[in-house]
Amino acid sequence: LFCYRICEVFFFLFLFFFFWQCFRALCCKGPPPPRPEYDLVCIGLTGSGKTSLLSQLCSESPENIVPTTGFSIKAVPFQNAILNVKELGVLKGADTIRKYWSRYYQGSQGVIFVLDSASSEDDLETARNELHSALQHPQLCILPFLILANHQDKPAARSVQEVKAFFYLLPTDMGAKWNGEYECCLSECQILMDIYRKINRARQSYKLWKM
Amino acid sequence: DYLCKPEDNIYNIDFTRFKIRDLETGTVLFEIAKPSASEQDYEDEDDSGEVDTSAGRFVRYQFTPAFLRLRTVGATVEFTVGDKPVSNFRMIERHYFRDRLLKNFDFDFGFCIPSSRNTCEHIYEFPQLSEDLIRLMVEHPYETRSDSFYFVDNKLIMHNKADYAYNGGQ
Repeated sequence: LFCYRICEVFFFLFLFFFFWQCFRALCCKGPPPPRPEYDLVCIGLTGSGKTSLLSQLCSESPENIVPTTGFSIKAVPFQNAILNVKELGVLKGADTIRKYWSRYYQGSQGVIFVLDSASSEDDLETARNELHSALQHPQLCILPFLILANHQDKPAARSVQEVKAFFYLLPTDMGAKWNGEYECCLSECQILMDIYRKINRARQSYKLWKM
Repeated sequence: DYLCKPEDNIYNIDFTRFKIRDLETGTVLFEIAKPSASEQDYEDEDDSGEVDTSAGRFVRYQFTPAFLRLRTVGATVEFTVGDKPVSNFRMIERHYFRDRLLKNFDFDFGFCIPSSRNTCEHIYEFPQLSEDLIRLMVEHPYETRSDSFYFVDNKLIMHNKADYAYNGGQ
């Protein structure tokens, strides 16, 4: 059994607002539906660890992972849902593929942004610019974001607070609704399951607040 | 028979790898990869004028009967795209036993950047099959068939077929 540890992964869960009414409608009417599927898009610079992360979550060995030159869609199954995560390839410094990111966003219901906490200042800055573009993109700004600060096990990794500050992710900067953050160790699908539960709970509580 | 011609694939979409795994155990059930271009002979040197219209569009599978008892299977497909961007790439796949539709799958790949290599793992949730039907499918190899239709911007650009036997290992 190939064991690939991504070690400590710190979560930030950002919530803006959502619409999950159609899912709730499906749930409450008619015969039990097949497992609902949610489409998520996973972005981040090359080398941040997106492919490895998704492979491990799908119980697949992350051997033979080459830089993604297009997209890679992985269906992550849970008991009550399937998350279709579309990971977008990007080449460091190459604008050619990043400019197509926005074409990929159509139909997405959530965003996972992966960054390498141990990368150089320049790369972190590039990642920050990409994250901020995504946060402001008309198709994405209304979606929940999950930001994963990866490679925390490397000596050069910035801490949670440092990453948050560098990326201007402090609540006061963005005026965002902060759902919370927690530390946990990556183990199979547990992480995305936790995320899924949090997103669901948060969406429901948001709906109540809105009314 | 085929609802479009090979030439309709103007985006040069090429399927390069296919893999099926049982999601409950993680076991890879089947995997096939296309040999690289240097190993393939693309030019048809045959002067007889006969063209195999099925070439590259038809695959025959043989599985054991246990395959029909799987509940969830992950099917990974890898494909490359030519130098034109592809919008709204969508696959509709229908599986039949004789004339009976077993299941319809509809999957939207979305947008593909030019000259890209893309992979997609889709989860197939098998329909519940009765014992009688399972027995018939095992006893009648290759009478289970599928049609895969591929669309770009709602225009049909590819049609692939496959048939299946479930009497392997017997």
